[in-house]
Amino acid sequence: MSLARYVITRVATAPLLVIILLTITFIILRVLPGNPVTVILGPKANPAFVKEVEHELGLDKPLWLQYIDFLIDAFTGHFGISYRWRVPVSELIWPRVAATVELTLYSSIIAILLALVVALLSSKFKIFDKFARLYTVATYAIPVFWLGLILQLIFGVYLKWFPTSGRIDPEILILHPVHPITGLLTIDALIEGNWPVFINALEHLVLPAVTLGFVISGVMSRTLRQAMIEALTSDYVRAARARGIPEKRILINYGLRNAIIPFIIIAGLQIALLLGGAVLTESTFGWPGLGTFLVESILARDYNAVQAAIVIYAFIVVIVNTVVDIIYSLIDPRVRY
Amino acid sequence: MLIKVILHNSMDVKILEIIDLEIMYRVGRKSVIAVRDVSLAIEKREIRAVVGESGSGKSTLASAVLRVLPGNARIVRGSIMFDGVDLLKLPEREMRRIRGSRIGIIFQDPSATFNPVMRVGDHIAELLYVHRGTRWEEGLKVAESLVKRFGIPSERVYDYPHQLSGGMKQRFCIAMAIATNPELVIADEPTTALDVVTQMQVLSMLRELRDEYGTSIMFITHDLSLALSISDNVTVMYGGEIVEEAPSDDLRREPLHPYTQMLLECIPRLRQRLDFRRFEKESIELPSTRGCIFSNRCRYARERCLREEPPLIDLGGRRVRCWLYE
Ligand SMILES: Nc1ncnc2c1ncn2[C@@H]1O[C@H](COP(=O)(O)OP(=O)(O)OP(=O)(O)O)[C@@H](O)[C@H]1O
Ligand SMILES: [Mg+2]
Repeated sequence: MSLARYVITRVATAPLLVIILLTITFIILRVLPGNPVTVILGPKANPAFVKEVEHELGLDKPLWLQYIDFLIDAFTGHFGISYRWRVPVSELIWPRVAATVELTLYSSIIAILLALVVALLSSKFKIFDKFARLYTVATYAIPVFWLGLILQLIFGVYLKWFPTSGRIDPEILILHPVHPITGLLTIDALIEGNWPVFINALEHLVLPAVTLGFVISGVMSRTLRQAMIEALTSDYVRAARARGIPEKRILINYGLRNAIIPFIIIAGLQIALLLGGAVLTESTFGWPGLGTFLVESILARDYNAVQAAIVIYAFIVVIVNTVVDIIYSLIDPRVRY
Repeated sequence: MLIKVILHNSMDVKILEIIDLEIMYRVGRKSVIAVRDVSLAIEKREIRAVVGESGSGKSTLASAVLRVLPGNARIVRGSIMFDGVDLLKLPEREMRRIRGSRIGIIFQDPSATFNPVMRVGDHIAELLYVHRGTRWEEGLKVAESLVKRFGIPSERVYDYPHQLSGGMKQRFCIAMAIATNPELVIADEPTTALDVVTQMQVLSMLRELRDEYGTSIMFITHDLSLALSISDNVTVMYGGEIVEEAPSDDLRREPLHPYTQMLLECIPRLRQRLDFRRFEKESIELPSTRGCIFSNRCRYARERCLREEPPLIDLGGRRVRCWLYE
């Protein structure tokens, strides 16, 4: 199979995966016991009012019609009205998604760089390997909110280098307005050449992105290190040494290029998890992302908002999955054929 | 063209001379001697077969020449002279320049030779880039013409290893081993993983290599008949030691060492060949006495053989480690 054909098939199957995930979501939301209307209105609500709300939500329709409506709404981005804020959910949720995507983008960059440095150094220097193991344990053991608080105390409160909460200072945004193009403040500001907003947004990103990046870099570096060991002790590396290939080449072209394959899968999984919203980090840094949105909506029993968040999460998982598979096929020739 | 080579010639015709080599492996707290008292010289343009059953130390010897022994191996004593230079005394940087450039190696399993994410041609291009500074594109062109000579369509250079058959991979390995025009090629059981037809192709390729470029070849195998069919001279190893060494024709006509005799007897008859396989398995038992290492399996073993280890006796043109020829 050619690479182009592989990519096309992979992209073409993505909507199918989304539909499967949405179907599971629908079953969980609608078929399992528990009536959203009583959840919204409380158990002692007026029966006539209950009927009215059920009609408004389309819950009086037959199940298969509800399912079709649900799929259409999901694919067209119509998530209904938020019961908490009395505005369309889509107006509320897209800025939250953008905030989470932005935080994920920078955290992943930090995590991948950390993982690469740790894995390469520990492959090159024996002593560093011990440190690398300690590093991984630390990323597992340190609670993310605790690390977040410590960083806030040191760099926010004591050194006053970085702000500790929010995405941007509102007064900066008022002085230098940004037109939302992607919704990612740093990217939009960069596109418009709006430097005050770019710098301010970046300053806000540093602490949460470093916190989150550090935490997920542990799994990533361990995966990479493990795969590096496997590649570097393989027969083809022994054969390469017997051909006089220099160690530096072996480390990169033989070790890293083979180890990057399992690494991408794990990294993709981590990034998909982050895109679902890192609730603890978002809460610690007052980051208005998808994770806090979901928690707030659940607590407020904002049924449509919860449903919208889950649908978006389904899309995110499938998109990340597809992208990972395509990158994988670019790197590993064995996948393509 | 068959070149009669007389052993123990003057210095300058020798490409490789191993002198009194001893190699040990550390396994846990114990040490195993894998190669002991090995001295052998390979001349320019010579095809030398090194024959021995599994565990006789052939691969250890090959790895020692390239200094790519596993981490638990230790060279206890000896020297390995390559073109007049002791490889064992060379700094690692200079040794690396010899590997793949002046000494090529072909391994038993061709599928364990290639990096799965690199095209096969890239391996040859990389080798030429590393050792000769050849530009990558040029290296690929060299690879194309090289593999064409070995009956592989040149566009196969752009395939990934998993797209090639085992025989094709092994021919690629040979093409790679000779891409830098090395003076010595070590082939460690290069045909074991191949079918008979491909096996014959590989053998004739190796012979062509010697005939056209004058490359010396150290051909390692456990198959004596294969060794006799390709080589000028044969070195027979047993339990890490050389037990016999002779020109191939002489060895075929008149094997001296009881072990060689046993190997030769096994060749023509299928039934005996099966027996030979069985005995390869049980052969791990070496005698605990200080005497001849073959004494516990030798039909001529006498009291002296158990007590005293025979030296490698020089019979003029051939050598044998057996008290029968004292
Ligand atoms: N990495 C190692 N660690 C410990 N012992 C080893 C190691 N490699 C080889 N040996 C031992 O050294 C001896 C010689 O092994 P070697 O691989 O050189 O034999 P060989 O003649 O190449 O055998 P084969 O025909 O099976 O390839 C054997 O007894 C083997 O068990
Ligand atoms: Mg071997």
